[in-house]
Amino acid sequence: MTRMIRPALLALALWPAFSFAQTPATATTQYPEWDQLTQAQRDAIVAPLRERWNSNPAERARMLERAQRWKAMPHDQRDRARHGMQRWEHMSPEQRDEARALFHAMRGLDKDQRKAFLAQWRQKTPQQKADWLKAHPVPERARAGER
Amino acid sequence: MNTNDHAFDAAIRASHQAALDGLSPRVRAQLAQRRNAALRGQAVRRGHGLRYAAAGFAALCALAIGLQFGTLPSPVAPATTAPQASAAPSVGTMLDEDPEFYAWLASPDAQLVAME
Repeated sequence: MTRMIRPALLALALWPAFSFAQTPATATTQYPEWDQLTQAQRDAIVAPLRERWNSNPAERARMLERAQRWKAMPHDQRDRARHGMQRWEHMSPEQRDEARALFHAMRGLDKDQRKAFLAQWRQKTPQQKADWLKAHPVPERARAGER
Repeated sequence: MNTNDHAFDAAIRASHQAALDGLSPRVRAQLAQRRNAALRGQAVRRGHGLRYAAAGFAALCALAIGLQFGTLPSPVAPATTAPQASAAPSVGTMLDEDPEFYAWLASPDAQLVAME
């Protein structure tokens, strides 16, 4: 009897493990550094950028300039820029216009002037903000990158 | 069993007892232990075998189920990973705006004027 029970128990015990082995791996795949990627993988990653470059001849100079500025940025500032980019991607077109306008308005200000500007901005009503944005449109050059 | 058989049996037993008397107490104790172990062994081994089989079954089941639950995404996982994936900026977005502008968006100044 024991001779029959043991194989049955063993088969029952191994069945979940066997079925687990049959399932495809769902764990996150670890990919290597860029230099170790295959050419096909690099092409797949760069494809959106290539499409953007090819379809916007007038933007190529600006894209190249921005790419060079990304490269020249200190590491900590680049990290901040990445966080800002994530914030940017969640903004509506109106919010983006507001952000651009505020950036360009505050860009040339020193620390105290920025502080005063922000204090005034936060006291404005939505209508006053809208009026200010109309009076201070985003420079066309800054808007040109918007698709 | 006739009288001769009884006599033979008694003689054999007497010889066996005489042989045992000739053994040292230590050897006799060892023999007694081995005899008892031999008599117990079959039943004990059978009992242990079933326990080992049951324990092995439980352990293998736990291992197999644990491995499956450990690697399969939990019901919460898609909700947490999807926003992260969508939160990752695309390559093209990097060149849409000045990198200094993106850095400003993450600055304390820009946080104060929450536009979202």
